[in-house]
Amino acid sequence: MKADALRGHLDSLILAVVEKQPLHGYAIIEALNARSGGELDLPTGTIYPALRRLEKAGYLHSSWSEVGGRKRRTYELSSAGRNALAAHRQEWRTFAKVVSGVLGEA
Amino acid sequence: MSAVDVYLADLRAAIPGPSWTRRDLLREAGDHLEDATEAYAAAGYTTAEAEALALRDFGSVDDIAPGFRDTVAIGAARRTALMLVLVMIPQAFLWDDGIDLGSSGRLAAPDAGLFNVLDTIIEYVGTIGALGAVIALVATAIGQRWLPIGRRAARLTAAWAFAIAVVIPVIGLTMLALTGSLTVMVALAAIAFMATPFALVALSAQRTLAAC
Repeated sequence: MKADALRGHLDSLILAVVEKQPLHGYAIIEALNARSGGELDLPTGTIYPALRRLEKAGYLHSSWSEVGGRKRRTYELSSAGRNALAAHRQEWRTFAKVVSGVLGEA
Repeated sequence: MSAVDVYLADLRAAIPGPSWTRRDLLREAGDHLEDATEAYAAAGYTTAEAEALALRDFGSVDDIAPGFRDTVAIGAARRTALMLVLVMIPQAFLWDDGIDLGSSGRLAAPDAGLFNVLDTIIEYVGTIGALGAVIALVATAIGQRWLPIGRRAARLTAAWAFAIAVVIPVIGLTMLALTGSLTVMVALAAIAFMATPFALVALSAQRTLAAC
């Protein structure tokens, strides 16, 4: 799946992978790849501006912590981020239901 | 110098702006490339191959730099807007309620008509300037939830802050000159609480414009 198709959804995907536990940038990329079955085809460097934007928007908190003996910036979902994720999930379910209903099966 | 070091140097060169706004972002990019290189090396690739694969996954400088530039420019704009808000807060005290340069000048100014016009203008400019700074501060932070904030917004914020930071001291100092009874204490207060802080805002605005 190309980056263009993800436009508007990348933020929610990032919020979803840090929902259960705080993760640093590389671990977020790994989690996205694992949960998408390797189908996400986007330059991994694009995630860092998105992480910074989500943090400034109040959806993520970040802190420098030790991961595997190294200092890494770790991101954690905020309560506002949790609410935004829940809202996006609901919108996505509605969208998917509508589109599936119209497209039907071949 | 490794391929990753060369890449990071190229990325740094492609992102203009204050070094403090780039530092953490570039450090994270370096950490990511280090982790990715190690993961490929652990999978059996040579160091050179692992670095090449990590860089391929990360994206070319041409692909990545625009997003990083947006982030840096927005960060610089947010700081400039915050500085303007903080500098504007004591101005009302300086001009109206505390030192009260406005009324003392109105009484003493030989050209009271011009003084009064400038006094009215500075009140409007001050109010509009502070309001714009607060809007920019909110827009470049939590406003990113709803608004597509990018370099254009950062440029607008910087231009706004620069204009306010030039116009208010110019009018203020002109008003002081018009009073004809300028004391050393008031002159020092104007330099300390008006000219210097606004000069710092103007400098921050210039750096933000450079990052755009």
